[in-house]
Amino acid sequence: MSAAPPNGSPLHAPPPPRPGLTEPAWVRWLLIGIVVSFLGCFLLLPLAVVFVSAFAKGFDAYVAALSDPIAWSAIRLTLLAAGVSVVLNTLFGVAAAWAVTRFRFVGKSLLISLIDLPFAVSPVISGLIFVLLFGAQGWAQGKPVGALWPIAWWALVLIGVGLIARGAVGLPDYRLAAPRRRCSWARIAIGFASIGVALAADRFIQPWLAGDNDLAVIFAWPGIVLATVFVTFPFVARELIPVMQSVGQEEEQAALSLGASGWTTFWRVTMPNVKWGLLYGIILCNARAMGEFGAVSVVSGHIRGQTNTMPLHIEILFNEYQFAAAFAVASILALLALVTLALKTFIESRIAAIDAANARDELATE
Amino acid sequence: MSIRVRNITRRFGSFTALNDISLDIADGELVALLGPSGSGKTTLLRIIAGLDVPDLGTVELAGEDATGRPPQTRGVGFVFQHYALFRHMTVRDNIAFPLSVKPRHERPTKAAQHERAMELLRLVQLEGYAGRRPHQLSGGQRQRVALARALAVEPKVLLLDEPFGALDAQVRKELRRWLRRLHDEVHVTSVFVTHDQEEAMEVADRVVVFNQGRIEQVGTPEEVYQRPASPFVHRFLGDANEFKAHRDATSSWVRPHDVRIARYQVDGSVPATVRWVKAVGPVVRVELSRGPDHGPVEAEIPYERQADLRLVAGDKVFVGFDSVRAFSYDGGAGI
Repeated sequence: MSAAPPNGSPLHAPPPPRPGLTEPAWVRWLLIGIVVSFLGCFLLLPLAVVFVSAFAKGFDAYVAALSDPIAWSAIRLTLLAAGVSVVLNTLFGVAAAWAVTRFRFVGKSLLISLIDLPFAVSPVISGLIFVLLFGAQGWAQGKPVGALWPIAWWALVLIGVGLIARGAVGLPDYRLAAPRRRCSWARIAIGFASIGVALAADRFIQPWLAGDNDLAVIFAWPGIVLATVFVTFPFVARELIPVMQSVGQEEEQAALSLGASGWTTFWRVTMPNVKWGLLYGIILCNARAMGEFGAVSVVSGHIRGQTNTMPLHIEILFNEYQFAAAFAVASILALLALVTLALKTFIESRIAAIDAANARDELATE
Repeated sequence: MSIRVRNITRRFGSFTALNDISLDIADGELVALLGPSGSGKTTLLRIIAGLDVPDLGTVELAGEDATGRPPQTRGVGFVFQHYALFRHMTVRDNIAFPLSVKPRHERPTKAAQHERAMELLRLVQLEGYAGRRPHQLSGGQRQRVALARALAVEPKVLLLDEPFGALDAQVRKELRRWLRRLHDEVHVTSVFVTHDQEEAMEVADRVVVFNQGRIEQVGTPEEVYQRPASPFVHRFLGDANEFKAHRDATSSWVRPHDVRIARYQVDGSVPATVRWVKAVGPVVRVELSRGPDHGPVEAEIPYERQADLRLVAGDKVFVGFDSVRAFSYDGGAGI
């Protein structure tokens, strides 16, 4: 019945190549030689140069370059931007992949195209968008929270009204033998709290913000975080959508019919099936967030010790002919790239193993 | 638990999957929904389970309206055609899953969950497979795990969507007998979808025949086979010869095994020529021609009969029909 080989059995060795079906030895060696020397010149050599140059003035200079407070502040800002990007884009990516693969709605193909927008536009333009939105001469006239406040106010009030209404009408309680609607005091309370927060904030926080206390976005860390989030937001969604499509919905429906709530189904059935794809997306997102230069450069203002990320800091050091220091910081980024590569390879091997298991599934089903 | 389906209509875009369906299933029954693919039977099953929502109509479970109720609260066990086992969990964890997601105050302890899972594994005769992953099992074994998992919630209704559709012929036969025995033991109201008439007749107490989103006939396996309510049912539940009578706008139907072949004319038999003869196991299939004005006749005779007759292509014989059913052209009832 099952055509699958027993677990752990060695794969069949490929038959020896036949003359006429493969190239002569000298062609093979020539091609392999070209590829290896190309990789050596363009990838391995530069990587080696980074580390060699980093230690050109000795180990002490290397440590000094990294322990410089300005370098530290750049590292901290890079970690902050990358951390926020990974968290927000993971949430967004899961939500977007869920919406795209599980629901049918108008404008779905438009949403899929929009997810790719940051890939399509130049990072410099991504940065400029935020300058135009939040810069002193831009739409918000340098007061972003004040400009966005009316939207937040309406959102809070509408959510409050909605919660009160739903709480008052109540939800049918299906655990009862004869389902009947029960009014939910918790919902009503949260609804009133939401409206209360909106009114209080309007009364107290809004005037304080207007008095020149608004959050600075451009030439400050929030702008850098925003630009990084924008540039990296396709990664998780892009990785997750095909994975969720191929896994399908049957297991989720099975879980629902077996009594699991939507939330439980998500954590215990959906997540384990897509976790490697998700992790892959997160790693790519993180790598790009740490290395991002263009968009961040536009909104940063290059204030030393305050608004420089690692790539910006490296550029400044390089322009000031501090080559050893520049390469010392660069070596950290390069190391990070190597770690990313290793993780990526590991995850790919996991995904390949899972695919192979699924392929065996198919065989056994037939 | 009884199931009562009232005037259900379900459309997907311009395609009408179910057209004003009503059906009653009594407590403890084993019912087959039989029909060609695309006839709406799976859609009805999913609507009963709460995995799909009807555009019109209601579903009652145990006499209570359940149309809008989410699947979690219906007390229904659903077995999917492709098993839908959780691929990252062991067989035991798969079966214990419905117990592990119960609300905290109803949830059995881990040990009790495992014990119940092992109990169910014994029921489906897979005791030794608790630690395996789904992909290490054969198709038939996976289907039995899926069944054990559906039974773990102690469902009041068991719904099976083409449960044996993806299995090879031998395993199919074993599993459907086993399902029948299981139902006789557990006595849970069960509905299963199939497009295999033999499977439906062998396993079910009652058969519901679907065609193009409508129910053609409901009855015991014997009723639908012996007294088909429409030409469609007649054709779907086995091979049939159709004879059109244009004068009174009716068509007559005869099953191949109801065609009698003789060397000499008897009452009511008509002359025919043998076109070809082929032995298929215990029966012999014969195609005959009644001349240019009539369509070919297919007959099925026992092997012993052929031993007497020794039919070969070109023989002139006489055919008679034992049991003829006639339907008027508008698809109406038999005459």
